[in-house]
Amino acid sequence: MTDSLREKLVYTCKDVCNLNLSEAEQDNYPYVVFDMTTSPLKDKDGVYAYSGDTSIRIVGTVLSALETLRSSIESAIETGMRNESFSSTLADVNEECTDGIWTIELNYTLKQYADWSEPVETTNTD
Amino acid sequence: MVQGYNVALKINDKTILGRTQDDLTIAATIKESQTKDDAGSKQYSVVGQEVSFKCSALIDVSGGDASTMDRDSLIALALEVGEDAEFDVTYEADEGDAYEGTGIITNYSESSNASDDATLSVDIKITGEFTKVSANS
Repeated sequence: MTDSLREKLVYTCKDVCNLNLSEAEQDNYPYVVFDMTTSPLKDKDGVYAYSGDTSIRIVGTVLSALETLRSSIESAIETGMRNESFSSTLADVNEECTDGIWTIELNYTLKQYADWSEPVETTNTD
Repeated sequence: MVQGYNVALKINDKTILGRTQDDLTIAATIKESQTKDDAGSKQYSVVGQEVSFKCSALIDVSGGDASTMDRDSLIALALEVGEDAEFDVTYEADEGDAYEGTGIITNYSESSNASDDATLSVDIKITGEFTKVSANS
């Protein structure tokens, strides 16, 4: 099995926000970035899952807009990453404001139990 | 050095699906004696052994196959009585010697919480002899 937790997370949230790794932090608010540390879970017959400690940070200047975004992200993850192939557990949520810039941090434990690859979109040539 | 994944306990020639741990314990059965000539020090002699295993695995109900046994098969075995509760046990450690005997399940338990994978634990005791059969190739 190969680790594709990051790709699955980005794909799951694609209709809600443009989710990038934390290197993509910018000055245009709001934006959403994430960090993930994955590790394989093994039984004696090999890797049976990947676990990812994930921090999603929603950054902006209008708290109410960030709360709406947060709710949408949580719903997307709950819908897209709670099945026989993936699991998601929201560990905690932190909010802080520095110099008028709000940051909502969602800390998840995500797990992947089966191979996954982003569906290839086909174009209709008719 | 033997890697943990190369050590395998087999029940009726099948490993437990999702196995994570196989612990073997050989406990000596001791006979104690003391005579006046021992000057206060007790004497011990080994008269036999008790061989037992404690195995842990992730709960998997996918049915298993010719070489693996899933959780439901284990529970069925744990609910048997009399001779039906006995099964063949083979224990192999990489290229080391293999051992075999007849086992019974003395305890079966499962554990599940909200955020981790569900696990099972099974205790097996060898009834009768536990003998070396061959080097595992």
